[in-house]
Amino acid sequence: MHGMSQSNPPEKNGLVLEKIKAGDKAALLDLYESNLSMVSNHILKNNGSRDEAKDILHDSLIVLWNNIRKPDFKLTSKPSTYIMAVSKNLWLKKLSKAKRESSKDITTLNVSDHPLSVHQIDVKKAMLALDEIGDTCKQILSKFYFDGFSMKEIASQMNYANADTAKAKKHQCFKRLSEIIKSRYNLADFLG
Amino acid sequence: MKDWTEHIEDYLSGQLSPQDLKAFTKELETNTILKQEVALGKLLIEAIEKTGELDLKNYLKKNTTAATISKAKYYWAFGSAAAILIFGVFMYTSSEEPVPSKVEPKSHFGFEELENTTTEAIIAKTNKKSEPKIEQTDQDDSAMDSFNYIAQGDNLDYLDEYIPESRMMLSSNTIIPISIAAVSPPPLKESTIIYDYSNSKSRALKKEVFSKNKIASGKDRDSLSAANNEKTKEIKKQEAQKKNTFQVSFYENESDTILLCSSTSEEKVDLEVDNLSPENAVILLYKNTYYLKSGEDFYQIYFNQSSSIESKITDTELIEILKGEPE
Repeated sequence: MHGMSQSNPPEKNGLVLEKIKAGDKAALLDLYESNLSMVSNHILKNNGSRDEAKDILHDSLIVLWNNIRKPDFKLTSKPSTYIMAVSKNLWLKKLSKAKRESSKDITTLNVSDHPLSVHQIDVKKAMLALDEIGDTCKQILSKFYFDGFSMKEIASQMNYANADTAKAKKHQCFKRLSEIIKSRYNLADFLG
Repeated sequence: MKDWTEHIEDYLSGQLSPQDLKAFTKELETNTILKQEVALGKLLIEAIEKTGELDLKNYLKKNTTAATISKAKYYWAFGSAAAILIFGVFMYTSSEEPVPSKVEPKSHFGFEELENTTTEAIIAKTNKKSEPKIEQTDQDDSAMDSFNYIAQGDNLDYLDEYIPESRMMLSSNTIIPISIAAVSPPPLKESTIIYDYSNSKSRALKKEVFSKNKIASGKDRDSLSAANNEKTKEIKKQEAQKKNTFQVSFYENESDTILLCSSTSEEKVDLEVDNLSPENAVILLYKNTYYLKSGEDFYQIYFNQSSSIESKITDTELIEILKGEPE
């Protein structure tokens, strides 16, 4: 494997991280390529399949994506070391969960073990409502709440005059989303 | 009185000033509406995060498979889903019937009979032979695990007679697993194919039983009857497979053709007899003829064009099959 993060100079790793931090999703693909073999080896050795390895690597990259913009996040190791550590951890969690599930006594299983919980259903409803607020709104909310960009960064990325304008727009979008839910469901029932 | 609902977002994202936070928290203790609004706000943020995560995951899934496909000239894969559905992906070798294709890869696609036919030996040999040419991708690795075929060179005529018994391997640098991204075009063509067991174990077993019956007499015949009954059962089982038909849909992207097969037989369990699975079964096209390799056996597949029927497989279903995780 052409291990970018393993064999390339630190400055290249730094560049990839900078790109990811700036919101360049394509840079995640470089990390995927360079870490797949290592993550696969680990998961294949630990009762996993190649598909599961890919899935875990995807999740690890998402963890990196989420953390990289957090003010207290500092990557002191190589990206590959970080990704490997996250992957190992995620895989361990998955194995433990599978073990717990399989050790459940069949008589103790009830229907609520598998179908979505009330809360999950509520989240699904809100996710559907998110599709109704328009692309710009969806984008600005996602950039703030999921990607973790600051209002200043969002303003620059989405061509708003300044952070305050972007924040006002975000607030408007959030309110619109909230109104959709409130117009459809009784808030007290909806929130269980 | 201050409208605290305007500050819910700031509260939830930790952006309230210490004074406002104190006041907000105090208000929250007694204001039921505000409490509900905060709960709704949390839910909305969870939905936004979840959507972002799903979108990013889909982006990664799409691009980590599609990226490799663009590097590969041909690819194929084959598998069974819940022992009912089978799909295959393969490289197309000819511009003639039965599959329309834009590819002209004949110079890249050939066969080679292997002297050592154990799986390990084939894989080892393929590794060795194709090493310099392999584009290093994980897909190549997994293809190596899954398929036992090799194709090299152009002089293939001698194989006409040997295909049913030969063990072949598509060269590893041309094989990558099936890609969900590659199945987006609608089916190009659909028809029914029939499993031909003329070269199967069934025929060999039949031959064995008949020849033993011919030479056996008296006591020998009795002692053979039990064994023969077993074999007859096995033959019947194999004969039943003859009734298997597959519905086939062709999908095509720029350079590759995908063959999706799904069994239309009522006795779906028959498909398990030969342990069809992505690890040991594959459909390949050679000189306009399709072959299914399952375990040690090759079966010729021929098309019954007259009984072409409409496919019931939709793109969505196909994607689910390929993902192996029907929702």
